[in-house]
Amino acid sequence: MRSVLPLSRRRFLGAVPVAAGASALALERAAGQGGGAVFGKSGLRILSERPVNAETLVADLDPRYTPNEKHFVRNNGGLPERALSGSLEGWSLRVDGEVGNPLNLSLDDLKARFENVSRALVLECAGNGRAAFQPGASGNQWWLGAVGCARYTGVRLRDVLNAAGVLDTAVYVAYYGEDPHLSGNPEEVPISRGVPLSKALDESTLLAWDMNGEPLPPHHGFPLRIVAPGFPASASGKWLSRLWVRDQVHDGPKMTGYSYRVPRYPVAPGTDVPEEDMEIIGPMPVKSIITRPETGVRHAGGGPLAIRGWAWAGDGPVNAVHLSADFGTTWLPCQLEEPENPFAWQRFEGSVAFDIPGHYELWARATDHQGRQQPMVVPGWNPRGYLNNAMHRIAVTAL
Amino acid sequence: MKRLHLVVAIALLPVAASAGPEERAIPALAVGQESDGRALIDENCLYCHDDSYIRSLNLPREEWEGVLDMMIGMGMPPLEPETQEKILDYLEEEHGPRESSPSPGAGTSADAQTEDLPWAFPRYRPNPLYWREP
Repeated sequence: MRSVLPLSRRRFLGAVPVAAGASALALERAAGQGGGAVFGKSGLRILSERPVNAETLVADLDPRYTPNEKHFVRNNGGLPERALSGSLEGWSLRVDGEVGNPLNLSLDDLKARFENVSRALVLECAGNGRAAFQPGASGNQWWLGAVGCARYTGVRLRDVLNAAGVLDTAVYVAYYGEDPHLSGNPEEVPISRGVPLSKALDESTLLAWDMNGEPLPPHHGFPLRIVAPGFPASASGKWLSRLWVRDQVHDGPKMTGYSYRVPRYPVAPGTDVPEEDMEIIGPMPVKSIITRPETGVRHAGGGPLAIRGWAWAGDGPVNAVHLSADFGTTWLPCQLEEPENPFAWQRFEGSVAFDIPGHYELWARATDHQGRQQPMVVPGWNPRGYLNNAMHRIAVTAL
Repeated sequence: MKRLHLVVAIALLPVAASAGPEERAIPALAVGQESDGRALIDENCLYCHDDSYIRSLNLPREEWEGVLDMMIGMGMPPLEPETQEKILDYLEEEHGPRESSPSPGAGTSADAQTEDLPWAFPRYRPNPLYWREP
């Protein structure tokens, strides 16, 4: 049994996850994290401070590009000292494993050697919407806001992999980052996931150093992260230090067991699913969110109420969004823009007229490029509460 | 141990002071009848984490056990059986399933501005097929 450590040591350890190495600057900034605030963030709903997990309020998802200070954060370990200091000293990206030509690249190497690209890309936590599962699932109780669309600049992961010469034996690309384990034990890795080779070679999968025109903020992976849009955001490793091209499906922390996995077959709510029947989550399902108006709006004047929001899907574009103001009895089509680039979310706009004053619910339902629609109820119960893409609903009083 | 509790309490104070309504809805970690269990959570859980994760959940005992297994899988040193039982006793007592969820229904906004408008949260069960009349 672990003994109770002297207070001084415990306090020191407590500081490690926030600021390993703990420079004066880091400690000062970390101190701000203890006050119910997250460094570099504002107005988020904080689910946990250690590790930092915080989601965006629905109204703050209205801008086309989710601002850096509003974008959700899902960390598994602490913040690396480098992310707070902004120093690149001693940093490089190693690319090894099933490659003919292992690489060791500085940030300048990446910027100079490969074509720089900018893309608007959606990242969504696989557990977004977990709070609605019944019976409840352990894990962060995300509501709607573990999603965002930011504009990232970087290089295509595939260009880097091609430079390294991926061997025929390669099947998976795993990441390792500099984030310290919460225990402070340098031997432990808080998370190391990755993507199948096909996703790594997708034209839209980036190694990004810039988010909305700024260097990656501390909580978003400075100096470099993967952005593998459409997959659970946990596949998009932050504070990147190594890419390990593997000849098998990666088995790092949070790749195995029940993490980011769902049953291979539908199960009744509450089922104890054997571990071997769980499979890794791939592309996320179609989803949408109403960003204006906010739920609870009182609509006066008798004219139509303008509705807008965003729709996205994990493996291709959204083809349609419909609104219902009568619990799904009738549906009105919305205007839907084309995505700015693959994996960018798409603006939908519609308007609803209310003939009779009273209480209404507005539902939004997106349909993806294969005709798959968002479900009305929380779909497919699974042990860890992933993949809830139920329709978003807001309440409206027509005066 | 008393000083340790104080440290934890101080760490939590600012959260309570600045929290929105959804944070206020989550009560502070209770001392509980089985005070051993609460102290063991200090030693074994709050060593790495803050307590918001525990406070946000109401799970049956076997699921809390699954959470402990998950944490051990993530690098937490395994617990002595007696320690684990006391922790589970506490979690079951203080953070077991509740009859009605304090949270609003599926697909609702966590927006603070609607705090005084309870009807703004669609309230019917996310999956009514699995809801049984008491």
